[in-house]
Amino acid sequence: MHPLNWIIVALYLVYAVGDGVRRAKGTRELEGYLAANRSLPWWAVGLSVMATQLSAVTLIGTTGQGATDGMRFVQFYFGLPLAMVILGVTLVPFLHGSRIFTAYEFLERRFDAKTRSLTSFLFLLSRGMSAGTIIAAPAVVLSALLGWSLVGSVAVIGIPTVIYTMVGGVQAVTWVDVKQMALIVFALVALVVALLLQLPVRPDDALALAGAAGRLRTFDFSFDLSNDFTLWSGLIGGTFLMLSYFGTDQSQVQRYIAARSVDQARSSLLMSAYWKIPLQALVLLFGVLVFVFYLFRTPPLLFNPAHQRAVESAEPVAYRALEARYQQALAEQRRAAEAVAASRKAHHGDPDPAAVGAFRDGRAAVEAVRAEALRLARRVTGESAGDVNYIIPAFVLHHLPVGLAGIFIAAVLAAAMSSIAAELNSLATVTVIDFYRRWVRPVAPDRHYLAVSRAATGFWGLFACGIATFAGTLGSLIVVVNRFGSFFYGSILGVFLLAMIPGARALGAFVGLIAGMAAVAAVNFGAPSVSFLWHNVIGASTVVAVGLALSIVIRPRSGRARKPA
Amino acid sequence: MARPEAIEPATGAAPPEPGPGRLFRRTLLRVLVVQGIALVLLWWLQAHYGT
Repeated sequence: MHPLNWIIVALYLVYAVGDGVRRAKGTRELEGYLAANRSLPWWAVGLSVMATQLSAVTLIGTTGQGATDGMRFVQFYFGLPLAMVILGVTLVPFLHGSRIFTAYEFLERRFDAKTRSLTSFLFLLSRGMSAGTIIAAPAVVLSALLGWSLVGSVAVIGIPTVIYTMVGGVQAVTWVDVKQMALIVFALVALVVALLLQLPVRPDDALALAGAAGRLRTFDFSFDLSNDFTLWSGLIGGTFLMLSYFGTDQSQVQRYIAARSVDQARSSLLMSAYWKIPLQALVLLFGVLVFVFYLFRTPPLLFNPAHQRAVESAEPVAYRALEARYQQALAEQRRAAEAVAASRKAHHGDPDPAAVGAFRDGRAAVEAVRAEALRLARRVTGESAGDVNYIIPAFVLHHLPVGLAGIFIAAVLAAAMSSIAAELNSLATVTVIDFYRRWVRPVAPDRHYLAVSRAATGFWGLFACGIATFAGTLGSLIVVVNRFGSFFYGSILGVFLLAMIPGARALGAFVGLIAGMAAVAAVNFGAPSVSFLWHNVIGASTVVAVGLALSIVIRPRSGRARKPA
Repeated sequence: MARPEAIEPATGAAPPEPGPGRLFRRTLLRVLVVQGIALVLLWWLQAHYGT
């Protein structure tokens, strides 16, 4: 990589750490460290929430998904604006108004200590593991593409993040997030513009080719429970997932309870609703345009360079045969793509159906060879051979002008760091507030809790880096951890929904939570074809149904339920 | 196990502000407009180019 790119990456890392440490002023008390003295403006909180949710996987994986699968993934976010509005008028006023540090404190006020401890324990369990995978995903890709060791990649992402999160707490995390979000959006827009300038066809023809290949099909109205991305799974399942994520996950809640007022907290959430669908559409559209770019330029047979080297070395004859067939298929596809563009010009924008048919045949031939190559890579390496995450980084490193690759890598690091910082901050907060202060040392000077919070941040940082190093070498572990985490989301949302219902009681909430997780596990193992987005609906509904039923049947001796705080 | 911290009674928390504020309502209106435009654009891309 050109030295200018390295300079850009180094400058970004130094700036992020410096800015984070500078923001440590005013964090000499626990209220400042964990809640920024409830003083943050809504737009900063909103950008921080967005940066937290936009991880490195979004930049390298979702763009790759746009290239291979098109725009339909955007349906996943259709429930987000709805969820934000619901949270803004229901849960946010209670959480912000309660002057709490963690969302789970609210559950003890409403129900009891065991419900609080179980939900906070589930949070630590799932988020502790996922913090490692958030680092692992980009670290694996960067190490393969840049030739770094995995430990080195993990260190470059993890160490700066741990430093500024440990020193500056939520205030540093939020303000660095704002800069990171600006960098990510700038990088995305710059990449799209640079790509459009490099395309050998007009943008209008590029979109026509993407459309002919099915990459612009956004809306799927089929009601298919096994399909991850349909309008209904996005609207219904996505709404439940976003309600759970933004309403009950401490990494999000901690941002908006630091806002100046309830109205500012609500508005900060709406900022995510504002930009999420357009931003996600831009991310996917960038991937779609990279797909069009590779119709005219030769893409590698395997985008993962480590897999390519392994296959070339282990199966040289088979690889050369596949490569020859690939080149031939690519040449035919290119001719067909040019014919589609030419026919549009000749017919005032309407392509010749015969040219479109030939182009689709060409696509099918290219994809068939690629599928064979991926199967060969899986057999040779014994690893999952999907290379979606490598498409965009490979494109950026090999085809973009000097400087843009550095900006892209800085943006990937920013996306990873903003997500991991929020995770570390929230994990430390739950550890200290929901366990240490609750069960181990309820009374101590403020400076003691502050020191323990910093130590907890450091501990979770080391833990996440350790998990990332192992998760990076065990690809399937990432899938397992993500799946494991999805068991809890809907159920935890169910407990918070129960908390909003006046008649719900503590025992109902606790048993309902366990029943919800059991129901999701049963669906997951008994009917694996049901898409994960529906798990959130099933988990939340089961908790509310079981919790309410128990609350009606079993009445406590006092005969009174606690009112919502 | 140590003595649990004193927990405020459920009614001790500050009451939520009454109804959505002006900033929230104004932002909500903008959100609806932006989402509407985004969805119409995506639909147009699919309908116009999805041959």
